[in-house]
Amino acid sequence: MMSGEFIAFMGIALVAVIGGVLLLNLSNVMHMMVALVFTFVSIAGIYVLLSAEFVAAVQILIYAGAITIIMLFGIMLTRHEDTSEAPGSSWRKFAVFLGVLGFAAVLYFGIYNLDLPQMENTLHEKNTMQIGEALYSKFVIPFELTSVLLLVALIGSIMLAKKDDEKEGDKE
Amino acid sequence: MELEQLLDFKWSIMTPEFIILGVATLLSILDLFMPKSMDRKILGWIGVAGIAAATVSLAGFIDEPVTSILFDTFRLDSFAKAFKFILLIGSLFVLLLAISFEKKDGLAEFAGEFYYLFLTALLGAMFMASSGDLITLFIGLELLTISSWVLVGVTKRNKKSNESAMKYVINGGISTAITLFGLSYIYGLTGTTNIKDMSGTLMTMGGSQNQLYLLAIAFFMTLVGLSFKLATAPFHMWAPDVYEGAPTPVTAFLSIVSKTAGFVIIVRIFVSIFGSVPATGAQDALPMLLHLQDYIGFLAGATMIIGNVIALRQRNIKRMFAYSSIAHAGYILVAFTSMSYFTFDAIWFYLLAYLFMNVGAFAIIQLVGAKAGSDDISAYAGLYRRAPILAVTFAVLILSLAGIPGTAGFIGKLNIFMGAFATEPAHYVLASILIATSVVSYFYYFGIMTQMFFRPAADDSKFNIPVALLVVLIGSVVGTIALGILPNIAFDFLHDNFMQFKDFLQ
Amino acid sequence: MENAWIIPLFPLLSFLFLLLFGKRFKESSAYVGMLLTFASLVYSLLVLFERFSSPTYKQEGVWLTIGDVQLTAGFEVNQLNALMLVIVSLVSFLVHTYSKGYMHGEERFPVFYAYLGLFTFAMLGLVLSPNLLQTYFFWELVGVGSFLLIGFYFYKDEAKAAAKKAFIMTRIGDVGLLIGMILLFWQVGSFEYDAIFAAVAAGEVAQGMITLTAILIFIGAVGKSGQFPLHTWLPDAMEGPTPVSALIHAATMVAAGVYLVAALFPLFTASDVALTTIAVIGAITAIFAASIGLVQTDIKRVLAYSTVSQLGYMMLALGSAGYVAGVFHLMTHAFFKALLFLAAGSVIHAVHTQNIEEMGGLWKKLRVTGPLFLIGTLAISGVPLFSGFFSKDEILIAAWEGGHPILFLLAVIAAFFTAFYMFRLFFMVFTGKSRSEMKNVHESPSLMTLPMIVLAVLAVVSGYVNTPWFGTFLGDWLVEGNEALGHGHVEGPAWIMIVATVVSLAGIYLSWLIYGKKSLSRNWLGAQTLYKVLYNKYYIDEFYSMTIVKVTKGFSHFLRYIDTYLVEGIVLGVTAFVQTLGRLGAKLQTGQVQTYSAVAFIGLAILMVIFALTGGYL
Repeated sequence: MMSGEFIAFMGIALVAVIGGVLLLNLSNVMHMMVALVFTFVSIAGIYVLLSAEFVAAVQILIYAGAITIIMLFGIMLTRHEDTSEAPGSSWRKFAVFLGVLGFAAVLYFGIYNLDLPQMENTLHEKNTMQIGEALYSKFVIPFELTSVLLLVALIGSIMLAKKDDEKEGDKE
Repeated sequence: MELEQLLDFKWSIMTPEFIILGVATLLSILDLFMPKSMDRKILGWIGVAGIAAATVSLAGFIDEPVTSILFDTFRLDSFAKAFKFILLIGSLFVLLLAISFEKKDGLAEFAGEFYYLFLTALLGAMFMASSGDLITLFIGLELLTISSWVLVGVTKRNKKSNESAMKYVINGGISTAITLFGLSYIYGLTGTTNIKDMSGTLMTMGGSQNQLYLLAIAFFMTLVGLSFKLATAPFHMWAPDVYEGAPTPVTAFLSIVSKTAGFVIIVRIFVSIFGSVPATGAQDALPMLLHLQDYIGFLAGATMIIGNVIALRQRNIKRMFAYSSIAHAGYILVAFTSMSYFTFDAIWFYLLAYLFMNVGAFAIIQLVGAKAGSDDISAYAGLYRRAPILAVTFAVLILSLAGIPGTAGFIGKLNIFMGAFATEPAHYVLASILIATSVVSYFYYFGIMTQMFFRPAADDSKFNIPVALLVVLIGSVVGTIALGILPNIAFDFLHDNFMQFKDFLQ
Repeated sequence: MENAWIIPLFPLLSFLFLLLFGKRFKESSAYVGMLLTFASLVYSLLVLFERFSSPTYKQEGVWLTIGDVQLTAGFEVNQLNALMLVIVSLVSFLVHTYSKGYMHGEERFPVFYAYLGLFTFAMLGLVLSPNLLQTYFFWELVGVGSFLLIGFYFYKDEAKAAAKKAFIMTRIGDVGLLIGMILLFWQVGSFEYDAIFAAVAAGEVAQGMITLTAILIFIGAVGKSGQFPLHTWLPDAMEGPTPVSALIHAATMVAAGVYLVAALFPLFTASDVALTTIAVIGAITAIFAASIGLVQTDIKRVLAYSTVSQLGYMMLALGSAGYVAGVFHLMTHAFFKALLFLAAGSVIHAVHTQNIEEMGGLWKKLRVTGPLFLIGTLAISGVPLFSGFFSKDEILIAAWEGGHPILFLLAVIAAFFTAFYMFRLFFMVFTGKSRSEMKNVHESPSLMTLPMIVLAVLAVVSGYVNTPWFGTFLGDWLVEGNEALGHGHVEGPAWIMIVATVVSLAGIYLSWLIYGKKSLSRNWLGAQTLYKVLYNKYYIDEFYSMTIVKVTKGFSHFLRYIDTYLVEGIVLGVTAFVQTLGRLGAKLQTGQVQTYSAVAFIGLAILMVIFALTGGYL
């Protein structure tokens, strides 16, 4: 069955995967970032296909926008080698390749003619509001817990990134 | 949902969590306003008091029937209570270790953060213990993980600490990805994140072969992903490097609290979800958990062998204890594999026993390591001559880790062992691996003993034991011996208050 | 008897007290230990006498409840326990006293006494245990105590190695015990001895299971009692202080294996296969160790091999259904072997060497130790009228009546060896020329000789509690009220006693010819042997040295090769295997985080692929 949705999905998914593979295989950091953006954007595309417009928008705003930009700043403001290090041993690559192959095969057998029970659901209807309601009522506990998590992440990153000004010279 | 409806819930059952959260917040504010020159140790003691208060308030809920808030996103059942006790006591000891930890390698600047990050990590672990919803479980897991990442790398000037933090982050990220992938399949098959609903849906699903196959795939991914937290095969390799590089209290935290939390989440997810799905379409078929228990058993066996055998070659005591901790996780997995009548008791008791013996051992490792400036095993040479009581204490703890009768470790292993025989068919192979690898473990445990008792000391300097550390040592030795000689204390507590965890799925 | 539980507490008290305050007491720590073990001894004697007139006493309480399984703890005083209590506390008390002199001047004197207390506590606790689990507890604790005492001279590398080896070798046996114990538990539902016997007697346990568990439990005894092939730790354990060898490696701990088999005797009698296994292992051990003892030159090692061999005797007796014979020999052996070790210690104390080649002519210098050593030697050689004679006789009868003529023959040969090498030891140490470098040889202080005198008296008289001539009091009492244990005394053909006597006298005579009178060359394997033999007028001696002795000597060397290369080789092989595995594993631990993730991912993929292929869903 070759619906338009299917073709769109194949295209977007292909871009996402290619972006991921390129990210690993390119050697220039800037090129890597571009590859990453491709992946982020195509994942947003998949969200759109699933009628999750809000998530798609957030994906573009936060991942493709904010996170990528911050990473670019980080790269530009720090000293760095333009090229990555030499790859690891070849036996490991081969083993991982086999592993990926096996993993993919096992999953493919699982999903290629999966038949899930269909449920009636209303799509495209107050998407944002539904998410908001769920977050602030049903999932208020994990939501609040997430705020603690973000705070910890914030403090942690400051701790680890803060310039170590206390008599660094003495050590070296 | 209206506000009244929200307020209707019995929020008071979250008191222990609120206390921990409150104390963590308080500490961060105090830390901000305290003069820079002031000693931050007082913050650590406040943290200790907070954990103690949370423990007391938890004890107050011991007779509380199963209570759930907001569709099980928070639930207090006997399983949660029993394991939260372990988490709280473990963190209490770890925080005491942290108080007496020498603040060096750039740690002095973040002494305050050092204390309250333990609390946030504990908070994450507690939420993991008492949630019936995958979302809360996952966020709790992440809170624990992210706090641990920062803690591992907190001694910035120590290269090993940096390296280990990096390794921990990368491996942790991958494990999270795998776990989530697995969980998303379960969500996809059931359409809900509530564990109870999931189990209900799956039980009545009747399932086509295809769906069951996918569910089993999810089983493996979740299991392997979560094995990162347990440090069991195949996700165990980060442990030695991270344990070695991290500051000792953090190492103790990883091997005690973090590991306990890992077992909590694994038991919660697997028993409730996979324990209720028939492995084949037929209704009376074996649950999937039992159907696939050979795989868990295989991982348990591999973990025990890897942990104990590689530990033989270690000269660094923290690395050795990393492998030993891998091995102990393997022992607990044996209990989990056998899924006998004893399983819950055995896992709970072993974690409790492991808590006592391991925290005491790390207290001594911290003390000796700070004194000798290295974690090499030779630092223990002649410890008996330098500090007889310390050496005897360490010996008791090591004997317990090795599983010698009269100590908590023995009772723990005996429980697991009996559990492995109690099922039909009995797990003879696993039980024999358990015993054989225990024998292997004597070699390295007794290597330390030989160093302490039968080697001349390099110097005769005495040890100065800080108060906090002394409390840990006394607590751990008393716990180890008391649970070894009168294990009924723990079992009575468990049986009187927690009704065999019968309300697990209510 | 109601308060028998207090007996082990005295030494425990001694241990704790000396651990905490030992440093302040210095050498007067000995009095603390002596006093407290004496209290144990007195109490044990009271219990024993009370047991003569009253039935078995048992008291238990629930110790642990797991689900609906209840495990109990408590103590029991039956005949065997009561007897063992006295043996252990007596030998322990004597060793405490002796050590006051022997360990004089040792820097860590209080520590030594603390360890002794710990060991005695564990051993007494073991003896009082009414169930397998509790037995196992103390069994391990005994091992820990032995570990600490063997390694007491920690500055010697050999001592360190020996301590570790002893602990780990016996642990290998303990694994068998543990598995057997738990299997038995799942069959019977209890660790209680009584419950186990009842279930076995009622036929509730399958025959195959009985055999399996009995043999597994016997493996534990093999490790502890130094039976072939797990015996190699015992001679090495001689690196410990000599009083320790007397206490642990002669009288008590190594006898624990025999005790265990005796305590579980009704289980073993329910399986012929298990009994035969025990008998065969016992006989092999007896002859094997005895033949190795022929060529040893270290005084303590000779005694160590003789201990192994005597323990083999006891096992042979038990395996031949000779319950009384085994326990009887356990008792007499405890006395005369402790005596021999203490006397050997006294010799070492005087001459500061353990090599018997460097000794000689000490009879005149050690006027007390010499005769005492002779008494011990006579007793172990089975010379009539000494205790060893009666108990060995019982064993030989048991082996004969048990229908094992080959094992009986082996036992007789071993008896011959025993007499030979023990007197070889005696003659080399006490007779002959005295060495010039041994000028300053003094008799040991009375603190050391007194315990030996007590033991020597017992080594002579303890045999008379169970003789075919004056009544079999011990035997009748031991089996009273329990048919499963067999008869108090088994009538055997009279010729067995004569054979035993002749064999032991022959061994002594040969030994005297070679080492005492020196009319036979000591160097009987060398080329000049034949030459010298031609000048020898004793045809019978010639016969001995040409045939039996030569063959056995060669046999002995052969067995020693097996011991060194095969048994140790297997042990080394297993160790090497584990080590290699560890090295491989450590190699994979490269420190590269990519490898770690790769291993995890590949592990996951393998699991999934295996599942997909075998799970049956596709």
